[in-house]
Order: sequence, then structure tokens, then C-alpha cells
Amino acid sequence: MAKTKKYSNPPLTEAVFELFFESSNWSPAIPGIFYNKVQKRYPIISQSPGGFGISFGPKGLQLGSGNNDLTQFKSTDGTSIIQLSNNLLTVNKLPEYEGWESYKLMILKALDVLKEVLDVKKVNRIGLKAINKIEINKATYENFKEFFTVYPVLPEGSNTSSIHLNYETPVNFDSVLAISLATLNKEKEYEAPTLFQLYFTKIKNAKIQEIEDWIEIAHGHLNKAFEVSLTDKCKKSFNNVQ
Amino acid sequence: MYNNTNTSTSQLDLTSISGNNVYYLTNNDQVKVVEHKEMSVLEAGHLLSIELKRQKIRSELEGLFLFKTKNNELDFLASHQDLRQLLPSIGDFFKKQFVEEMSFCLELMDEESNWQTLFINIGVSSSVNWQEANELVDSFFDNMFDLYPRVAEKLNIDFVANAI
Repeated sequence: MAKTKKYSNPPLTEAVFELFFESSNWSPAIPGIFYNKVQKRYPIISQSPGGFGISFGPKGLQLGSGNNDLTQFKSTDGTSIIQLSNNLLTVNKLPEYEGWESYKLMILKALDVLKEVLDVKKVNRIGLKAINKIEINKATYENFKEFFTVYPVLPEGSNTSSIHLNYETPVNFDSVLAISLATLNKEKEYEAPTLFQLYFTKIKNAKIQEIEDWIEIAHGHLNKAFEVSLTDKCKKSFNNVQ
Repeated sequence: MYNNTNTSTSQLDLTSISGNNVYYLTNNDQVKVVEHKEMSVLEAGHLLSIELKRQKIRSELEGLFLFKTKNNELDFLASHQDLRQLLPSIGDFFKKQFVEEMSFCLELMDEESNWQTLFINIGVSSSVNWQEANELVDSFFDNMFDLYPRVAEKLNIDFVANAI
């Protein structure tokens, strides 16, 4: 496992693991069976009303009305969440984030339960996402440049205060590293927040047996992208302790 | 790292993962244009991430509404899409009924176990006609229970004096 820096005040607001799959034995009873196996750690169960259809087909990710109701299984404090539908599993962790090893264990346990209750025939895509919110103190282009090493080049004197950047980089012919930076309006606890998303996804040749190794690789990519995308000044604000 | 309008690739089929844009896929001496109509990987994430859902709701409503807490009201609205869709119209409706300046703050209340209600706290100056205000709320809820009973039962409205 690659050594990663630890920060005492990390900007991570959510970590999300996604698995898009096809199975042969889905039925409306599956969420209940899944719940029986996870309810000790995830006692709160709910279903997204109306539901939405999110699918991964020949044309890529698509939305539709569908019948893919998403069932949520939440921990008592609401910070650890599993979401399940007939073709999707996500494992979400909100703060307090207890570190990579703890989150990885959450993912692997959820996968074990999925494999117990469903016959996963095919994995269409897997993804790992880190969503960070970073305070840049003032919503100006100059401040943005002081916190991020990636930024748009604008004409001198531009009075830009709102920035939205997306980057998608192919990796090893079957994966993509996507990075998104977006300035947000002022909100509770943030004067000038910027949403910094890192997403590593394998879109081809994914196998359920290889996920444990893959998530470690994905974490390495996200961690490296995190470190190189931020300036030292930015990282200092997270109080590096190790 | 490449900008998404100049994505470099050789054998990777980006048609399956990119967004509603025209992408110029370059491979040294090859350039081809691929049009995408599907959702990008990052856009799709809004549906799967709790934090991004919160962010989306916040950005939809923040021009009109304040939120009492950091996340409680947003999480409630995330699971009550019908209420979320009607809120801007409800805010606009009350705004148009009064000449006075108003503020709107959303506050989630636990009425009893397993029953939550979203309050719209309408901040007004002391000069508002209270009888008129109360009659307006009564009439509003009469209509809401006729038209959208499932939304009406999750909602309450309160006027807060001297808030402006």
C-alpha cells in the first residue's frame, strides 16, 4: 500500500465507491435480504421515492424513469451509507472519515454481502470518488490560483469569480481519471468554497474478483492527483501532521 | 492531464463515458470528432453522492431560501422530491402577496417519532397585517391539501415578526 499523507483537518466531504453490475437473480426481495445481513451496522433503511433509472449500456451512463428504485442502508449517525438497486451498489462515507483502511473495509464488507445475495454476472464499471470542499477565502481568480495548481488561463485583468473545470484523463486504456473543480457560493461554515472532485473509474474489463486490488490502485491514483493539484499553501490549511 | 476539449487517447473508447459535448480525440497524428449525448461520469455522480445531492438542492434554492442547519433540511428535501420541486413556487407565491420585504428560512422539525415537518419561517417586519397573513396561510393550505396532499402534510408555515 502506498504511503499517503495524513491531514488533521482534511477537506474530504464524501468518499463514494460505485459498482455497476448485471445479475441474474435480482428480485424485489433482494433489498430486504441484503438488509438482514447489514442491519447491525446499517439499521436505517429507506427507499428513494419515485426512484430513477440509472443504467450503463452501450451508450454509456444514461438516466431514465426505469424501475431501479434505490434502497439506502444507513448507520445510526447517518455517515456510513450503502445504496443498492438492481444494477448498482454504492458505499458512501461522510465525515468523520476514519481513514482509507477503515473505508476500504466498509467497501469490502458490502461487496461480500452483495456476492452472498446476488449472482453478479458482469461488472460494467467500478469507480472511486473523493469529494472535497476547500475554503479559498475569497471568490477571485487570484485566490483560486493560490490554492490550486490547475486553473484556467484567462486574459489579464479578468474579473472572474466563478470557475468550473473538468478534466478527464485516460489511464491504461481501460480507466479514466476525472477531476472537477467548481467554485460555489458562500454557505454555512464556508466563505468561498470550492468543490474539488477526484474520480477514478474502470470502464472496461472489470471483474468482481479483482475489486480488492483495484480499489487500492484507484486510491493511489486519487491520492496522487490530490497532492499534485493543490498548492503548498492550500495543503498547509489542512494541517499536515504526518 | 488534459483539458476535456482536447482529450488524448489511443485505443480507449471515450464515447461511453463523456458528456454532452463534442470531444476532439487526438492521437498524435489523428484527430477525430466524437459527439456525446450521454451524461458525463461526473454529472451522473450527483445521483449517487449524498454531498453532491445536497449541493444541487442548495444551489437550486439558495437564491430564495436560507437553511436553519447545515444539512438537516437538505437531507429531508433529498428524500422528498415533490416538496423540493414546489418550494420555489411556494416562496414566490408568498413574496407576491406582501409589499413588505420578507425572508424565507427552512427549518426541519421533529414533530414526533418518525414524523418530520419542514417549516418555512417567513421573516417579516412588524408592520405586516397579521390577520391577513394568517388567512393567507389558511387559504394556502386549503389549496395545497386539495392539489398536493402529500406535500401539504410535510409542510408548515410560520411568520416571524421583526425579522426584517
